[in-house]
Amino acid sequence: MLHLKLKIEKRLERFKCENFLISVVSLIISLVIMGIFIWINTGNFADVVETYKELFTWPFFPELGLVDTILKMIPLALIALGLLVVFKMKVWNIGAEGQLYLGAMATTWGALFLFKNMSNSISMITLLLIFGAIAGALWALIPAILKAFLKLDEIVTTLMLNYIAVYWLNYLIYGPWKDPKGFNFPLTAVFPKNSWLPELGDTGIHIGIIITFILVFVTYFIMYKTHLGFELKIIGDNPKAARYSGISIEKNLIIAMIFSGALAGLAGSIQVLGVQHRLQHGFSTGYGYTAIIVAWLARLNPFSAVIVAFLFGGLLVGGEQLQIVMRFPISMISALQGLILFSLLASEAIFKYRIKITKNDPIKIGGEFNGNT
Amino acid sequence: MYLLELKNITKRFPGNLLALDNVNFNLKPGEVHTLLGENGAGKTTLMNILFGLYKHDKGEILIEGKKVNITSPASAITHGVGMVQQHFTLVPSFSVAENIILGLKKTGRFKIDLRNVVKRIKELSDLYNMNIDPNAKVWQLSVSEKQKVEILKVLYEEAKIIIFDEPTAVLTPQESESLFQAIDMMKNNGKGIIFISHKLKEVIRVSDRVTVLKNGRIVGTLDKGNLDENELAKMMVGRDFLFNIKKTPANPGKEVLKVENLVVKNDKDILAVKGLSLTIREGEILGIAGVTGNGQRELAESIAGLRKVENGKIKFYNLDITNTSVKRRLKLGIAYVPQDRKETATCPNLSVAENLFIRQKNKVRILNKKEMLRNSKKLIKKYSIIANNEKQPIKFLSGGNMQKVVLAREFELSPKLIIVEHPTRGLDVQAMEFVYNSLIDARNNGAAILLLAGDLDEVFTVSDRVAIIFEGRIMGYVEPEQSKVDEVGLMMAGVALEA
Amino acid sequence: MKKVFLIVLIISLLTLSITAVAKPLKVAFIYIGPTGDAGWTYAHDQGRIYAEKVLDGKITTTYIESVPEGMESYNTIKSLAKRGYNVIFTTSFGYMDATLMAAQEFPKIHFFHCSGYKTAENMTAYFGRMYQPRFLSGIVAGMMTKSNIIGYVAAHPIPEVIRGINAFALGVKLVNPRAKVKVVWTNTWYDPATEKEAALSLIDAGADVIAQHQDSPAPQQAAQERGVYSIGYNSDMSAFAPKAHLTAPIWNWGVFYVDVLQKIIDGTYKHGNVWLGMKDGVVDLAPFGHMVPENVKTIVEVFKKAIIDGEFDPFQGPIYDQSGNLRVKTGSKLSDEELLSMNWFVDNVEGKIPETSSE
Repeated sequence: MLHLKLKIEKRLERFKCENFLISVVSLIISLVIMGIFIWINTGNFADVVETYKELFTWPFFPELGLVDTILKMIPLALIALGLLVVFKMKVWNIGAEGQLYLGAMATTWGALFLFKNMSNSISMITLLLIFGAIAGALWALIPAILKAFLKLDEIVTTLMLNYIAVYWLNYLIYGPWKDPKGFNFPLTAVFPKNSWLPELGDTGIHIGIIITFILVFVTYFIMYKTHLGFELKIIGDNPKAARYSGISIEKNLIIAMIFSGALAGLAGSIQVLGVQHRLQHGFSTGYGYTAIIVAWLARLNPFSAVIVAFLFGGLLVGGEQLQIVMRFPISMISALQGLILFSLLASEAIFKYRIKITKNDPIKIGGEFNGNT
Repeated sequence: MYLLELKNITKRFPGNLLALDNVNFNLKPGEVHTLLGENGAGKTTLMNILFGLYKHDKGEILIEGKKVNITSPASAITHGVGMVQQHFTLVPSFSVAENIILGLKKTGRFKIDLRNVVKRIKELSDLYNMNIDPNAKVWQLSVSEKQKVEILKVLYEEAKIIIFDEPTAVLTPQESESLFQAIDMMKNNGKGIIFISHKLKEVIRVSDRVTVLKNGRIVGTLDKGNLDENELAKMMVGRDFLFNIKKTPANPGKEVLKVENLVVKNDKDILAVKGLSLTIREGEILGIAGVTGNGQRELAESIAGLRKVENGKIKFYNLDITNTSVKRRLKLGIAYVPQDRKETATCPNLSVAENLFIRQKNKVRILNKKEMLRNSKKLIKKYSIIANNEKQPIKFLSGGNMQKVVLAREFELSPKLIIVEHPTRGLDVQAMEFVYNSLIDARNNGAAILLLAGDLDEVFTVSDRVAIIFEGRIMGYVEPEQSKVDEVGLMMAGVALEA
Repeated sequence: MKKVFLIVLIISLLTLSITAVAKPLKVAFIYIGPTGDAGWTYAHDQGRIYAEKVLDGKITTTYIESVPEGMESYNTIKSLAKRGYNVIFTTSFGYMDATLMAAQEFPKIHFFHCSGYKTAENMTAYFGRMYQPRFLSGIVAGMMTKSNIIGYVAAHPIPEVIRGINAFALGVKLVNPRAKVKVVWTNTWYDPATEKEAALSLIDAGADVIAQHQDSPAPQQAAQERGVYSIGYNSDMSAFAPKAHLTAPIWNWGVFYVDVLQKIIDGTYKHGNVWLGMKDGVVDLAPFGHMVPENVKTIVEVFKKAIIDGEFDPFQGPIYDQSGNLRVKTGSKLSDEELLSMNWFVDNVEGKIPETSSE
């Protein structure tokens, strides 16, 4: 009797630019699936064309939504850069959202209370950004220490700290930091003009973008050119081998988490100084969580992270426009965004493995092997 | 007639590693037939084939004289083969009875009559003096009780052939004895038992026949009357190749390593090294011979700095290095080749070049990638490592080449002391020869070497002095050239010789 | 092949110009939640649909759901401006600064911001005197309660919510001085699970009428399940709890939207700050449930007429706060300014306003 068997096995050989090709092909696949999805939903093929047009034009053209896309890219990229470093050593910091909040809160404290009368704008902004980064770093240090010395799972602790950060912020804006002239609404006063991040010309883009690009190179340097980066890589691949090589996992864990938290804190700082100019509800639209996906899709490469963050920003901006133009409900937009993500992840799996159809004749198993010794 | 016959079983793993080579094995009803061998000898592989977890490349399996095709554990069970695994597969929140019928086919199609199941389990438990409550939740049970549940599962499935894969590894001596009594009863009830172990004493206690496996081949089979620890030990570790080794007499210099009354625990928190002392000099290879699991690994790791020392001292050139960091020991020049090259010695996804540099004496803050690659190329040539290029992930290398990378890295530290554990496990003859010559070269250049291996011939070929280890203590020293195999065998079995 | 196809597709799409020649008034709405929330956003969207129907052919409308508050919404508003929308309604407090910024950048576009206080030449701040129907619903609750404990599932501790609670409690007190209004804060606008839990906890504490300020009908459903009465909010929520739903203070934004859009078309609209009450028809009470007896309906009708005619104001004195201080003297009433920054509870409210700022 002849059996046909499907077997899934890992592909061993790799081809050049594999990662890039996977991303491109999976993007195309997801767009095709999305098109079918829309077609079924609206029953009109013209809608599919229109949707693609919107998604590819609006977020990426200067006269249209490019500025918006870039403004969303900045926090996503900054947080993702920090996450790359911890993810490299397989530590799952999902507390970036909370670290972002802490950065924003510390910056607000500085801008509204500590240094509110500072006259030099440059030194005030520098100070506030550093303040935000330190706050984010300290918030990340808590789970780092808990993991290093008490072996507490960082996924749980970082997630829990996110909630604490959100409640802390609520307490502050409903209570002590509420704008006295704000009719009791839950928001702080507007920061002094001196603390606002300057714009690049009159583009509407603040200097956070320059900070982001500098940090891309810094992150790249740390990850690929320093011994610290090498150690993180070793720990991520095989912690036993790291110990055997005399590498302190605890020390590296703390350093990486501080870096990651500092970048998330900086992103929070930049959001309030560059965009919001005050602290209020909804100043982050879940950037700390989205950045996890960005870091992941960028395959932990700092340069890819910026590109992915940019595309993700575009996806968020384009989604809004689809509501205006196509009258898609928000739930459909979320479904489409999810679909793109899912296709990216699924096609990675498909590319990494291959399906083999084997004829499985029980009598002839291993017949090609000559067992003489 | 035999209950079970395995004929000419051959199995090759990816990477062309020959795990089983024409193995023949049989089992009669009412008999305990033991498979004895070192780790990696092929015992578990053979049993996994019988239990349908692996597919053999060649050979056939006969049960009660009929040829069978076992493709999965489920089909093994329908053929009456049951296996008590080393690692338990129980659901903690389920009761004993629920665990036992989990995945069973014999219960009714839709309804499970749990009351009958409980009754049957109770009967079986009473029959074998196991004292297991079928309604107890598994998380409430001790390790030995969990094992009993695994055994009950096999009995419940009415297996005729029961495989015990190293069952005593998790048990205390008392628990082991009660297990043996249960096994005796199963035997008397006509079951055929295959017992897997590398512990000589218990093998002699429980077996009717013992077959020794080594490097995937059968070394021989002894019947109950001829069982003898010394003989078995020799069969387990003996060797049948001759090497081309250029070894000149040793010329020992200053004392490099001095271990005094060392006490070290193993992973299970039980004492593994119990007050061991030894010294090694410059230009000398000290071999440690013994059956695996007598404290060799713990000794090596504590000297390398990977395991905490409970008591005693480790001195390096008279400097106390007890419980100092790995980093410090690297700086002092202590190299270490661990036994598990995939789990500890390398990072599988990192390139060959990176793996050559994970253990550096002096860590620079900024990496020089170019120099790293250049050096790697040199080392790949020098140690004739076969790899596509230096950027290939090390996991794609064969075992032998992986080991060469590890050796290259450790030798390039220009160490004063090298600890080497099972350096040739899984290697072919040429690679073994290379390893031996490299060790002797390092010794000739003045390094002190501590060699721990299960393979007696290996230890005796390479070492200048040989210490025999048993249960965490040195039983005595022998000269490799003049030693008598009988004496060594006795010491490995725990019999101290008169001085 | 697929790649080639995609490239061709993209290029052909890019060459298509964005054509937007608009004769009818293009009107856009920005919403804080999804239109299906049965609450705040739903009420605004009903207004949009109503306006589109009444002004058929004269306007076209669109909307964006679930837009986060804060300055990030500026770019969303801006994108509507860039797409040639002439009138933009931003329907949550958090869009205020962003709307103002956009108003200053696009002086030819009309902006309407709901529930805030900032205005400009081309930007109106609009809101409704929801406290009026809330007061009426308080009368209903006060007459229907038997346990004399009325539960109020409160959203965030901001003046709008506090004002609603006070108006409601004053309605209760008017007809039933012994009844107390118990307040539980959820700190949510739309979180059905939390809001349901809060309602259940109030019922467990003895409340037999449940009122709410969130956008989800979850408290209504909790009341229905436990067999107590409820008072909805935003829109008629009786479909969610037919046995419990007594009535609800509701929004009728459509009336306002038709009015302003018609004036804009006619070129007669003047921007400013508008706070519309029951007499404008923007706020009202939903139809009564069948269990509401005639005498209750009569009393409510009397006060409704008095409010519309300006003869009665829910916040007219004497009003005492929780510590017994006389806040409003007999013969006077609270000013709009005082209403907009209210941060104290009247005396028959049981509950605390969390951590008020020390101004």
